Amino acid sequence: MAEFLALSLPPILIACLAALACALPGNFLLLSRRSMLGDAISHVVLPGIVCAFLITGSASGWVMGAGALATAGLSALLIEGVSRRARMDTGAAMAVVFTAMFALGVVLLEVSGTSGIHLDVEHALYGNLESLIWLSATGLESLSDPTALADLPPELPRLALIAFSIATALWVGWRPLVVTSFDPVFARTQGVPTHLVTAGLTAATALAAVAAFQAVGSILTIAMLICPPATARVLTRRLTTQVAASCGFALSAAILGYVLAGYVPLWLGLPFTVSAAGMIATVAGLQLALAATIPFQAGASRL
Amino acid sequence: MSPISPPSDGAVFISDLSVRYDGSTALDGVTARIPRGSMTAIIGPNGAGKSTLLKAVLGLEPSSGTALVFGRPVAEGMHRIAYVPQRAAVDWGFPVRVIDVVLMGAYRQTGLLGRVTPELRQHAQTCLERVGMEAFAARQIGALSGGQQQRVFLARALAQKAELYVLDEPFAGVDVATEAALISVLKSLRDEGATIIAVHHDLSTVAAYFDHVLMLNRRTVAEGPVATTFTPQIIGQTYGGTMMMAASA
Repeated sequence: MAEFLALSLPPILIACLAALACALPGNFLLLSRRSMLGDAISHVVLPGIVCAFLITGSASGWVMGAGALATAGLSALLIEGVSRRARMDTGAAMAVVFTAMFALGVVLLEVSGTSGIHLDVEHALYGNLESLIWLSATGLESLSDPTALADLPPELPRLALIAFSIATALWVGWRPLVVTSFDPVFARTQGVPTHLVTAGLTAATALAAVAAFQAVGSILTIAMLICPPATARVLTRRLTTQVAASCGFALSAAILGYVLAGYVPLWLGLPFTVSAAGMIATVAGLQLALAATIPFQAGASRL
Repeated sequence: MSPISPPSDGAVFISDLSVRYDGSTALDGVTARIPRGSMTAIIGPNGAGKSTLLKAVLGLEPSSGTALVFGRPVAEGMHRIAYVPQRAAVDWGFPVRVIDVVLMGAYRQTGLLGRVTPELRQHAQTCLERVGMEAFAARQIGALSGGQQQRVFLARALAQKAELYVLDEPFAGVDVATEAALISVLKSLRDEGATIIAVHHDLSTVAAYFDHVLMLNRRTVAEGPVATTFTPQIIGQTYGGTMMMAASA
């Protein structure tokens, strides 16, 4: 039990929170056909984190988070600028900007030798979920011991705070968000501040992507932004059901993926384990593939 | 803003309204006075700027010139206007029910957190009854036919309790029964004192449906009562003589 608490519970909880924080705004990205934005943001986070580290020399989560948010904002401007100057559609502009920014991040990583602090290309892709351990855990009593709790990986409370903030913002802004996603022109005639709503959704996505990236890497971030909402979208007909189901898929992918990556190889006596983040993203993708194969008769049997 | 004072009884006053995109001109100095309580058709060939004119008047499209609604700048009167966009402007696969769409029309009446009161829900149901869609309230919008979608859009406009209804091609791609139902609802709204403005394509029904007409081809070709304005000669001017006339004006 102590081993589970120390080595598995924190990464599982962090993966769950990251998955939730990403899946919630992902629902609305999907519905407003801006899924690519999540992809773009999770890529541009990398150069932001590297630059923040190079400038400040600090590996603190908050400093790197600020750097990542700054580059997310910068790339939003770049995408806008490229699509206007080069007369490209937004999708193409995003593709150009986010691949270039990610590549820049990789180059910066390689030339700056920052690999000592969990900042290398592999971690950028897969995160460092398995290293987010809780060494002070000695047993169940640690869960009520303030000294031991204070030693939890800082990613855990940070992601909890961010997931909670995003959920609250979604609840408060639900109605303008739904009207804006469904019919933005009509929304404007109703006095909905659609630009503010869109910017708010982008900000929530950026926040979720940055927080998740630091814990679980870019692959899982991209997967969690879109896969659970897309799976839920296939299976449901009501928006509230879709959002609830996307949370369910996000959580189940996180837990199942972690167990498959960390425990199943051990149970099978294999001499290795696989990347938890990679396996979680794979499970999320399989969920979507399974959902897509369920035959619906004109959507009649959906929830 | 405007040197000319608009007539106080007008619903919409447009003066020298222009819309330009990167060098091309979509609307060039459009002028119109649409009377209150009228049922006005905006007609003109494809690319004449009909939808653009609606959007520019509503402030949804950047423009130069003057557009007043009920004698005031449009921003002050938005709560009195119901805009019905083209059906194709939205994703009908969006996971909401018919009643949810109609309730979007009550957006200004709901509080900060958007609580839908039983009264609002009841009113939304009444709006659905008015367009003959009361049985579809709980239906997913993706399961509707084109005509049913247009009825739902009109019900959403009704839920706004507006005085001016602005519709962009409300009859495009709908069945005959729906067209008859829509026009009967619009006429009853007009009889209750509302003003109706619709982009319209079918020249053969202009005289039967509308009492006022704005003939548009990037600029105002003519504007006035249907009886005196919707003449073969002006129709010819509007469509640049390329139109084979089948309509009896």
